[in-house]
Formats: sequence, structure tokens, C-alpha cells
Amino acid sequence: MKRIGVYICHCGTNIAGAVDCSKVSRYASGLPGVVVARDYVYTCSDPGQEMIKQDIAGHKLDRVVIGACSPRMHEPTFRNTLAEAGLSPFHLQMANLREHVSWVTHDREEATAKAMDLIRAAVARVTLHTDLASLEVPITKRALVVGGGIAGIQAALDIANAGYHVYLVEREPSIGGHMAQLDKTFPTLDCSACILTPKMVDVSRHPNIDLLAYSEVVEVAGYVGNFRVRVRHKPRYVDSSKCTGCGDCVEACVMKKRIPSEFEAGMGGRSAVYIPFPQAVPLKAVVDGTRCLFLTRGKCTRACEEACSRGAIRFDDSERDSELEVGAVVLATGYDLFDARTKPQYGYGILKNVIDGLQFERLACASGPTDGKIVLANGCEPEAIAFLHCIGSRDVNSNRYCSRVCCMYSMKQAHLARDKTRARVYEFYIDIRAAGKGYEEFYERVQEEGVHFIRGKAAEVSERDGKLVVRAEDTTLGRPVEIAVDMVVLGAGLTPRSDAAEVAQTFHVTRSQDGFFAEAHPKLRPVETNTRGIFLAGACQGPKDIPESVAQATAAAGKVTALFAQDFLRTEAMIAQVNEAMCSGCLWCKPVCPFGAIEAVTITERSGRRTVEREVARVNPSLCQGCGACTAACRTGAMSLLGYTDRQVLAEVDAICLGTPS
Amino acid sequence: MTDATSQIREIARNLLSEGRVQTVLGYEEAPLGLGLRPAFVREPSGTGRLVFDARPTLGLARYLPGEIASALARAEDGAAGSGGTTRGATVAVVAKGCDVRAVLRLVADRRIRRENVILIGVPCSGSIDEERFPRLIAKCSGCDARLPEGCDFTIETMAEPRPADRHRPLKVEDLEGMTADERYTFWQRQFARCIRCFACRSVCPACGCRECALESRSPVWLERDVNPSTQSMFHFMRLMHTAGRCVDCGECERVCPVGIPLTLLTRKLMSDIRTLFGVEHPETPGDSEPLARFGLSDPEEFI
Repeated sequence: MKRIGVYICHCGTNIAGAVDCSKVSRYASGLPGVVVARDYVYTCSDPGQEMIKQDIAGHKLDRVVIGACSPRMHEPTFRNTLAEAGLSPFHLQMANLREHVSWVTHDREEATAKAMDLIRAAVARVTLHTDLASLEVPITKRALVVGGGIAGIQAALDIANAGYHVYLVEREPSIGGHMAQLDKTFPTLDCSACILTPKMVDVSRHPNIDLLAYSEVVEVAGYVGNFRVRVRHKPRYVDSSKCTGCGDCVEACVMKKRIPSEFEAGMGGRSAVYIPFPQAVPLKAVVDGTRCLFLTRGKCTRACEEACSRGAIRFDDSERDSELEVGAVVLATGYDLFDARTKPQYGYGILKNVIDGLQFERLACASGPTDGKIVLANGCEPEAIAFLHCIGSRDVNSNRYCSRVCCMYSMKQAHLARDKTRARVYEFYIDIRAAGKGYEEFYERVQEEGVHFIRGKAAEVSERDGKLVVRAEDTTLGRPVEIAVDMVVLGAGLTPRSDAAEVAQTFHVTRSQDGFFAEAHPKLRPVETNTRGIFLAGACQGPKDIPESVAQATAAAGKVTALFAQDFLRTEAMIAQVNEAMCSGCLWCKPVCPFGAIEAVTITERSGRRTVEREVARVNPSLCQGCGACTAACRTGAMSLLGYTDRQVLAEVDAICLGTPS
Repeated sequence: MTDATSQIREIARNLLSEGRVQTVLGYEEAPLGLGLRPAFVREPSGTGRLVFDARPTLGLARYLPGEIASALARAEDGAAGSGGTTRGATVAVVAKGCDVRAVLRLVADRRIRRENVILIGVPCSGSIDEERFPRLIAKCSGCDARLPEGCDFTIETMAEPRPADRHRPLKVEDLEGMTADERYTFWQRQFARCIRCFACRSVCPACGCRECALESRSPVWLERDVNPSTQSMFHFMRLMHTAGRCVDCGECERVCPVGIPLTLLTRKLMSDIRTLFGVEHPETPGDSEPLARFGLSDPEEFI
């Protein structure tokens, strides 16, 4: 008979408020095998743990049951307690009396009865606990950063500066992300490119950073410390080692300026062979395989080839994959601007001179398509401009969340419009959300500059007599207003990347309700995901401005370097195990394993008078994370999860279903 | 002698005399006029025993793992004796459309290798129960896989006209039309007849566990005593162990000595897989086993 100690934690009033803890502990003392049962106000506290240690010594306990909070919170704590008292840390079973009982059961009598049931189940189970062992596996001290916007750049630089190697993967031909498209940044009005470009150059020159531009991660296997990542390099059709970025090919291309430029948000054109923008890193040309006349139709003079004096154009280039081994991943895949076409009432994509925030950035930018002149489609300067806030944000019909940056960027753009033109400027807003250092002061400054603020969300934009008419309700005056302007700028919000679902699946991370990647805990683990070793930075986790993205990127880099500061990681002890005698070798467990931990091995065994060879599944203990998916897929019952074996779980079920609380 | 029979005999004779297979698994007349029984033909001279007609027959897929294993062992012994090398031993099997799926099931579950089987496909328009008056047996009613696909040989016969189903068996739609209470009563009545002979388990091509959960003594998943709960549990466990893997061969129902309409259960499961996962042919084994993979569009209404 095992000697079991049971401890019922009051958790202050968290549990004791709903559960009669002393009654539960009296009940527990009568259960088979229980030699001591106590209740205590804070079991996780120092004196609480000391009490358990003394009981282990004094009562010669070999099993411990603790009725307290979620094992997520304190199972490691109490395992340590047992280990310090010389007992196997796995001879512990926790019953979750807080989340499973007191927080969800309001009737004191029912709560107490349920607590007794759970304790009885835990006592029945704990006798079947066995000692488990974990392995030490080395950590690959290289990091992967996915996304080359400001967040990815910052994370890559911070990790590289700590002395670790970084692969920075960017799907576009150049790093820089959305920040490279911006003109000035609020509220300091720094030139965006001026503060970003040096960082981009740092990345490209850093001896610890491998910049993999125009590449995408297609597969991630493995686990924290030992990820195996497959990266697909898209064909550039340009030999990067020869290209100097002179731009001769761009000038020569017959498609010159006929393709809408992604970087210019469609406000300018580019060629089929192009350099995304003058400060691009790497500064190398790239041929757009979907638009190049030679690659799509085979019919072209191939003037680019002729123009290139270094012979860098290579139409025989093709896609190729490479394998990386990394220990940690930072996801910094950024955001998409809300597609204002889905709100046709604002005329985006229908009416000329209705543009979105990114397009205005390109108009205002000195290196943009108009050399920084804010002009209408016909080239004239606008006499009046309206900025419409909350397009797609704070709206039950599209995104309920606030996109955080649109108030500030619309006001910054209003400032730029006042600065560069003589136009009257209107801001249609619901609230101004200016909660950042110097943000409120910037709001005041823009008001003083003569920008008209109209409190009321714009309802529609129509065209009348060659003017754009914005209709809204002015909620301070309580009446409808109509204002005729020449240009409408939509303060479109931020949305998850259109392929966020696929990316989440590739990296085995979860998404929150709004579609952005989910952090492990909104307050206490804001840069981690629920997959160990994968961290988040920037707007892929939710709308963020530049300072917040940079801060989070540095935080993620800190998490990565903290991980890399260790030499070994302890593997999970509660891992899956195959009973090879029972395994029929169907390997249905293999495709469901997210960690690639299951492989087929050939065993030899005796069958009658003969020695036969047979294939069975085997679990790699250093890859297995103990998720248990394989045990559910295994029909034959050959797969079991240590710590959650059939016998242990059934003991709990039987104790709950067959026993009765006194 | 039907046309199918002579063709099967000829193919079998050629395969055996050319040494391409070690065994032909087919059917022969059972003694005392008891219908057809499985035949294991290992010599060209034995192929004259082979017969095929519309009488209900046992699916032969279940014999393949054992027969292939012993053929492999014999080939190994022969190779060792003559100093030659081991050749991949092969077994030919006569298979109707449903049996072909059963063979593919064994391949998908890695219990046999496809290269060790030669499939002799026979078009089938349903088996006839002649005991009282000729009619299609229940499992053949509603079958849409009468022409076997992907076989190494296909017997050329015209699909013979069959008598119409006079007794239309219950269909999944009938089951879905019942209220929950009616369904419960219906199945309790059906399961109450079960004598737990395990015939449905033993004949199933999707059952391949080395230790059957229904017979496991540690842990005891299924109590031995007979009560409504264990009667239902027996069938639900068997059903869930074949979920997503059942090939709708209907053998479980055909062999049931007390006539429990088991294909009604398996076909309901298939109809659910079809609706939930958009899998057109859930009974066909392949790479896209709906319950063994994860897709972004999988229904998750319960989360």
C-alpha cells in the first residue's frame, strides 16, 4: 500500500470561499492509502511547502496529492517540493479545486462534494504514478526571424548583437516592410526612411545575420531548441552576386512603369524587372516572373539582358529549397492594411482621389512618385482634403478592434497636408486615441495648425460637380454635415495578413479571435506563443505603432537570447511511448504528430518457430512534447502517454463514477 | 460454368504456371451444396476447382496478410535451399468491388504491400440470397462499387440483371428521420439480440489490432456481463475503431448470425464524414484519410 499525503489549499478565499476545505481534508483522510490529510491557507507558500516536506519525512509518504489551483500554475512548484524532500517529482497529483470547482461552482455544498470527488480521483490515480525521467538535449544556438519589417529587423539585430547567428527570412525582394513606405513618423516627424535605412544596412552587413530575401518558410518541424525549417527561395532571375543595383535593366525593360508598384501602393509604376525602392536592401534587381513578357509568353526583346553589362540576368533561374536548423523562431510577419474596397460607400477603388493612408504616405514622401507633392489625379493641388478615421476598425461589420495607429497617422497626414499645401483639412473621427508619449501634445499641435476636427464617423463619400462630398453626422452639433473636398484619405485600419491562418499552421501557433497570432498570456507572456521557442514581434500579434513594435521585437530577442544562454534543455518527461508488442505498424500516429517525433523502425521477433521482421512505430524522446495526439490516433492502444496511461486515467474515472462522497 | 469462372481459371493457371504467384485465393464449391467457400490454389492443376457466381461469398481480403506472410516464408526457405535470392512472394486474389477496397484498406494500414498482391477483379451486380426466395443480400443493396477499379486483371462479364429488392432494407435516411428516442429504442432492440460471437470483428478488413480492445483484460474496456450497456458498448467500440477506415464491404452485416443491420451504422458514419469533411468517397482508402489528417477547413463547431 502506498503512503499518500493529501493537502487541500484554501488559496486564501479563492478556494475556501466556495469549498469547505477542512471537510474535504477530513474526507480525504479516510480514503484508502491516505496516511495524512491537511488543509492549509496557502500551500504554495514557503511554510506550506515546508509542511509537506516534513510530512514526507515524518509520515514516510511516497505519494502526494494537492488540491489547489491549475497544475499549469504550480505543478512545477510542488514537483520541486517533492524532489527537495527526496521523492520522485512525478509521484505528485494535483486536483484543480480552483478553476474546476470554486471558480465555476457557486453552491457551497455542491462545490465541496465536487472537490471530494476530484480528491478521491486523484488519490486513486496517484498510487499508479511511476517515476519518469527526462533527457538533456543540446540547443541549436541559431535563430530564425520571419519577416523583415522594423520588428523583424530589430529582433534580428538584437539577437545577432548578442553573438548568435540569425537567419532573417523576408518574402519580398527587399526588407523594410511597411515602415519603409512611410514618409514621416508620428509624433516626432522623423523621416521614416532616415531612421529605418541605417538599420536595414546594419542587417545586411552584420556578420551574424544571413539575410534570405525573396524567400518563404514552407515547413517547420522539431521543437524548441531544435527546429528544422525548410525555406523556399523564389527565383529572382537575377544573379545577386553579379548585380550591382545600377538599374540599367529597369530602364531597358519594355514594361517600363506599366506595372503598378507595390511599394508605391499603386501610386506609381514599375518595370517587370525592378528594384523595389531606391534604398532597398539587398539592392539587387528582381524579375517579376508573373509579369515579365519573356517568362510569361516567351515573347520579348530581352532588352534587360542586353542592357546589363555584367550579364546578371538569368532567365533559367528556378525555385529552390534549403534546410535551416535553428533553436528559436521570432515571427514578425506584420499586417495588411484593411482593404477599403470592401466598404464601397467610401468610394475607394471607384472614385478618383479617394486614397488610403499608405497611398497618401507615398504622395507625401519626397522620394515618392510625385516627389513629395500632394496632388490630385489630374496633377493639381487639392483645395480641401478630408481624412476619415476608423475605416474597417471599431466596426461590428468588419473588425471590432481599434487599430491603434490610424488616429495618429491621420493627424500626422493632416499636418503634412497643411504643411505642404494650402488646402483646408478636415478630420472625421469617432474618438481621438492618442495614448503614447507626446501623442496628445501632437493632437493639440495639429488642432492649432488649423485642422478642422468633426466628431462623427463619415457615412459615405459621393461625387458631385467634380467634388467629393463627405456625409457625416456631426455628433457634437447633433446634425448631419456635408463637406465638399477634392481628396479623401481613408484612415484604413490594420488587419492580420491574408495568409495568417496558413502561417499559423506552418509554425504551430494559435490565433486570437481577431485573427492575429495569439500570445501565450496577454499580460505575463506577451511575446511568447503557446509553442515553446516561437516568439512574436510587431503587428502580427495585433495592431502596433513603430515604438511598440520595436519594444516587442527587443523583448522577443531577449527571450531568444535567454534561451540560448543555456547549454541544454530538459526534454519532457511525460512523453508518448509505444508498446511494440501491440503496435500493428499502421503508422496512423505519424501524420498527426506535429513534432515529427514518430518514425517507423523494423524489429525482429519470434512468431511460432520463425524469426520475422516487422515494422512498428517508435517515439523519439527528444522530439516528443507529450501532446498526446498520437495516443488518440492509435486504435490498437499501443501508444500511451507516460503520466497519462490508460490505467491512470481509468483509475480516476472509476473513482469518480463508482465511488460516492460521504 | 459461367464466363467469369472460365476466365478466372485461365488467369489463375497462367499466373501459377508462370510462377508469378504462389497462391491464388478464389472460391470453390462447398460440399453438400452449401454454396461457395474460399479456395487456396497453389498448383496449376488445382485451378479447375475455382468457381465464381452470384451466391453470397466471404470476402477474401482477410486471408491475405497470413497467406502473404506464409508465401514469403516459403519463398525464403526455397531461396535458402537452392542458394538463390528471395523473390517477392505474391498472392493473387479474386475480388469484387467491395473486396478491392478491403485489400486497399490492408495496404493503407500497412498490413500488406500492394506489390505482394495481384488483384483479379470481378464485376458484381450483387450477391443473391436463394434460401427462401431470390433477392439481393442486404449489404449489396445500394452498393455503387460493383465494377472493381485499379485491378491487375479484370474479368469481362456483362452485369447480369438481378431481381429487384423486394425487401428494401433500412437506409441512413430512415435512421435520420427517427427522433432520438426512437433511434435509441431501435438500436437497443437490435443490440439486445447480439450474442457477441465476434464474427463481425473477425471478418472486418479494418480490424488489425494485435490485441483487440474488446477482449483486453488490462485494462478491461468491455465488461463480460451481458446488459444493455455492454451490448451497446461492444458495437460502439467496434464502430469507432473502424471510423474513417470502414470500406463499406458490408461483411460485418452479412456474417451476423442474428441479423443486426450493422451497415446502417457504418453508412451513417460515412455519411457524416462526407458531410463534415467533404470527402466524396470515405469508403475508399487512400492518402486523404479524413480522420488521420488536419486541415484548416476542418469543422470545429464544438470548440
